[in-house]
Amino acid sequence: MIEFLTMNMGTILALLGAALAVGLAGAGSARGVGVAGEAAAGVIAEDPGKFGKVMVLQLLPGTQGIYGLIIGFITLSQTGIIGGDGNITIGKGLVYLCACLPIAIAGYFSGIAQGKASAASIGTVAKKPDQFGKAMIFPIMVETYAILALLVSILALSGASGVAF
Amino acid sequence: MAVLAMKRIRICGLKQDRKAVLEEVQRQGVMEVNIAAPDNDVFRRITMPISNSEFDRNIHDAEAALEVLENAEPSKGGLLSTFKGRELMDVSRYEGFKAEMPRIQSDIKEILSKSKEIAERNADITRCRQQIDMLVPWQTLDIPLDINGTESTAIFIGAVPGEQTLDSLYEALASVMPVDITIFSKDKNQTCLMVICGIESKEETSAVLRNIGFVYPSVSSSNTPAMQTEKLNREIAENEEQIKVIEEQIRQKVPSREDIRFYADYMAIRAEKYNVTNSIPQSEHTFVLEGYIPEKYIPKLEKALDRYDLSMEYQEPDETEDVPVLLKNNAFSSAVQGVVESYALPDKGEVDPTFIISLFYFVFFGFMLADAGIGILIVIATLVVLFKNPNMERGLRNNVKLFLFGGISATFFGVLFGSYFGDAVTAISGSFFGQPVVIKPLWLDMTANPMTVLSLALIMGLIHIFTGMGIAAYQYLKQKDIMGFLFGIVLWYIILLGLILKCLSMQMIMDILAGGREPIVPAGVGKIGLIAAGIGCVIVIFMGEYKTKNWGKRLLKGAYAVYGITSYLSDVLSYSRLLALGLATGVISSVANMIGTMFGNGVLGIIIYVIVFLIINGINIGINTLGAYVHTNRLQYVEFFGRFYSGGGRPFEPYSIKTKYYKFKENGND
Repeated sequence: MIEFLTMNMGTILALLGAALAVGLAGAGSARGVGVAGEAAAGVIAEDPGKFGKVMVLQLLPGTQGIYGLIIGFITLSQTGIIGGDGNITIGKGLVYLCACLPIAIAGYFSGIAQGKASAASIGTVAKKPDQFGKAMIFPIMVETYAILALLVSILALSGASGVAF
Repeated sequence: MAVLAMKRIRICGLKQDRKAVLEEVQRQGVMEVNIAAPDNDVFRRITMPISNSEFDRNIHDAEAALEVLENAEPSKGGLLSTFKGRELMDVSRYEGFKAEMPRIQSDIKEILSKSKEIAERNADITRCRQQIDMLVPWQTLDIPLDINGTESTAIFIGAVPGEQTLDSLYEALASVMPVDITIFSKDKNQTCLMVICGIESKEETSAVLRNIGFVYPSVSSSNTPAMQTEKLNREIAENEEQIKVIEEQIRQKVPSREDIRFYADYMAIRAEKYNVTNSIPQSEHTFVLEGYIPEKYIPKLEKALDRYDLSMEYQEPDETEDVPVLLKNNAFSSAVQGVVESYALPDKGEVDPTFIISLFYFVFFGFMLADAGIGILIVIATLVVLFKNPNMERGLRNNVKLFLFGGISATFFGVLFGSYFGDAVTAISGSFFGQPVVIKPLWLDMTANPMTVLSLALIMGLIHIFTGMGIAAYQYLKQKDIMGFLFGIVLWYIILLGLILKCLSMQMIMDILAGGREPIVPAGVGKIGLIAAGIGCVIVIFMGEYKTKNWGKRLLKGAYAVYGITSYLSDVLSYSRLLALGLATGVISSVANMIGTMFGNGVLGIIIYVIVFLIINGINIGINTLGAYVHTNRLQYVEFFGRFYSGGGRPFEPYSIKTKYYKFKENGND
């Protein structure tokens, strides 16, 4: 067991990073989309004609999960866990783990926060459908921070492949 | 590219022409009615005998009838019918429609009364079912429920609360013996029973029974319960039969659906006309129609009203008037007009940003999607929709056009960055044909050189923001606000450009953004830039808030304004989403390719690949097209509009033919 761990520690760390990125960001999105979905369902009960608009708003907090997936996927393919030999040093594994953290953390919390903003915007659209354009902007404001985290994760990953240990 | 110039228009005509003129103006649909003058001795508003509520009721009836028909037989449509738009209708139909009205009205009446009959019969069925339910406990009783005795006996049929046994009942009735008790059914709530006693002890028995909570059944009939149940069942069956017949009769009315739709439209047109008629001042022999008209439509209206004796006057609207706003853009830019309109229409003194936005919009959209495969799919889909639906409503058509142009741009950026459904070409050729084919990106691979692409994204952001400031400068100059122009715009251009020069002269910045190249700006120029920015900041502190007279306050506010540099910084960084979202599309497609090619080169492998490819790319298109759309909007609304645009104009609402189902050929200001 100990031997296995020391042999594969690098890979395990990288895998942990990928798992956190996909898992946490996905969980954040799931909660966000869930909260927004509850609000959206309520609006549809009153006025089914607003389906298109509220669905767009409900989808907005879903992107964090996608960002997490992107980072997870890049990590898995760069470390060779899929499509390679998958044997990397502990140091490199740690670098990959750290590179995954921004989108994992920001993805989780921004997903939830964006879901709440989306739910509120769905309320706006329920009362004033013509204000859809503005209502859409408020959840998008939250997403900026997930995008910044995604950016840093991507940059860190692209830098990590060049890091030698 | 512009907000159309509005004129105030006043049409004065003879009363005998009133109806014809109003109809003509409505048909042209280029004028908003806006009566400024109050009533006076000569001119006053005259309320027409037909009230508005009558039109509303007619429209409402027609809509209700249409709904009934829709339930009876849904109109053909399908998913793509949303794009279809209203059908074109010749004006001659409108002219001759009066003769058809009685027939259609009686159709509507008939449909509604039939639908009402169905509702009534359904209510009857419900009532019968309830009664049957209530009769269930009495099924074994072989005399009618409403019998209360014979010549020498009194009979009580009813229920007492709780689950009782014969023994407990006889015990309770011990004082009025002799009685005969029969239990028909019982559950934990009640016991249904019949008590027979001699006629002479009727009163006492009744009193005792009342004491133990005896109640008569809530259902009564002169038949035995079994017979009554059967009768009710027959009633239900008959009602159901009748409903089917009526439904069939309603279905036979389906062919008149088109007529009823036309009728609803016709009523809506007339309602609007009566609204206007009621609101215009009239004298004994004349009427006055006042409002706003876009200057370029004046000849059109004049030509249409040529044959009537009337006077038309125009004047510039006052400064204080709340003039409505109508935007007019070329075929390309109008695609994003909806984006501007859903933010806000330009307020007085503001320019219409549609044209400038359209220049940036598709660049950003394509950058964020950046996949040639998805781009081409979007182009094909939107072209099909556009060509198959020539009657599509204008707003919707613009939106479809927006995605068409966005798709073209996405294709361009996909070729630039070498993304065709991610690396689908390489994956397919490598896995299934044994020889990986790599399509080289026209410029560079986004995944391999993220920093270079990030620099490009930030530069685009700078250009976008600087353009926004340029428009603000233009607006300041147009309003002859020189101070605002100098201290609000020029000074900031100096500060920002100075800082950019300084940055470009620093090795550290070049290391981050340009892969360690030599600074493109000599150190000396960078220094000058920094000094210029510094002087700019000092001027902002002293003069940025030149409107504030109190110097203490002015300096504090000025210092805070300098802090505004950070907002420029964060605004520019916000454009990094161009890279992030652009990468996302390609990476997700690549995930599909990688998972799909895991299952080898057999038939099964190919089938799995196709399935995986379709599902993941389907999701990819949905999510990323939406993402590109909303984030491009955000860059326009927040980063771009934040520099110069606040909006707040009132939309131009012409007195026109506002129909739901049909479009008249003459109608429409193109």
